[in-house]
Amino acid sequence: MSIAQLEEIVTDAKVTLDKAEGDDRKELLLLIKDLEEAKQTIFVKTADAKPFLKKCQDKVRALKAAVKHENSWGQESKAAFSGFERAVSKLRNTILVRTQRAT
Amino acid sequence: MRQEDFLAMKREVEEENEWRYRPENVYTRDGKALVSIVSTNDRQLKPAIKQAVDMIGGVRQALTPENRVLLKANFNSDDPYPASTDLGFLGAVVELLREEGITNLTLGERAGWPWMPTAHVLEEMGVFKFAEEIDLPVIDFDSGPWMDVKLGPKAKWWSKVGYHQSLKEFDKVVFLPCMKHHFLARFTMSLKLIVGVTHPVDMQYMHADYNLGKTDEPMDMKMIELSLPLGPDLIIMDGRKSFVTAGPAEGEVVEPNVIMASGDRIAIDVEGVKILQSYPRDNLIKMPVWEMPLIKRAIELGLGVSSEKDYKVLAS
Repeated sequence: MSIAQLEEIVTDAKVTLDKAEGDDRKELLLLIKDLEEAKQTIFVKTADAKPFLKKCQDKVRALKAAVKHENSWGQESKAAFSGFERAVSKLRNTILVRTQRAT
Repeated sequence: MRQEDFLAMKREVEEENEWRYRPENVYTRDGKALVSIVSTNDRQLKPAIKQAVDMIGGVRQALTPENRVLLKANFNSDDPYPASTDLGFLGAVVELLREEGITNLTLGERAGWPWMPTAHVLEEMGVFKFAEEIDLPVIDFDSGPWMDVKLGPKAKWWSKVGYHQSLKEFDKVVFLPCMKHHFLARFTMSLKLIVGVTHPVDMQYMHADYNLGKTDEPMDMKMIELSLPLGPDLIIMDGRKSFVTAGPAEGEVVEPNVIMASGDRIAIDVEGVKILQSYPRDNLIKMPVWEMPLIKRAIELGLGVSSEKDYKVLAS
């Protein structure tokens, strides 16, 4: 389930790429890379990962909806992107910590 | 911060020296270090902090109005208290110090590297806004200038470590740790707080043990040596809430509801661990605290008391 959930998140994130602009687009590409790398970790298959993945999924859905609503990278999309960025950062940091590479 | 960005960070230092600031513990009675534990169940936060400090001798025992004082709190990540310092606690400490005439205060901080840049963490946690409101200067220890400090013959894992050069500008240091279980170091309280004044690039070596599969190089044994050049004058620990599993950024939260104070890092951390042990969990502190390698090594390094005979607990 967790890998399928991650793949769905990545798919949704990629849908918004066309509209993303400037530095946000560069960051979005990196976030997609982060999510692809997360698939390789044991952490995402654990129960502990569920709330982090749920947050990413909720935020990417909000981003997708905002982009669809604005049909551009407007204020609503930027705000939603910020939320998605935070959610993925939280997942990435937790993976780093859990794999004992950082505290 | 992504790992590739962290590994690409440059390590530049302005000078190399043998700088030390290891103040004598002035919070003692009859030759014994003091640790106070004050319940917040029936007290407001600020009176509890004041009582904890007054019980061991008061702020003015260690600090005087002409001192330039560094406050080292715990903004390791952008996660809420008890992962990070509670702004209410920080504000109460600042008010208390100012009421005692200690007005030259600065907050200095570096977040853990996954959460860096520190400015992002401080922004997310509302620290910059809060600091501006209470007129508290903040130093972000992410960038330099840095000094390489030789740790001397006691150190086994390091010959020198980068410390923020601004540390030399302060007369006194106050540690404001949270009280948490730590998934790797067993616990993080006053002894681990030192990490946040060191060069971020040095964290690559500190954590290299696991990254490179060198499990004979435990991170906590490297970490504890960072305390050789620098110690606090006063420690005020916020144990109203704690993690008893995982940590440092998340975990199961319990509410010990205590404020603790001491001038001795080992004594206060030992008492903090004992409090966390009163919440039995499947965690890393299920062993006698004096047998923990980190505590044993801290004693070897002379960072504080060496047994329970060396300190007295004052509870209220």
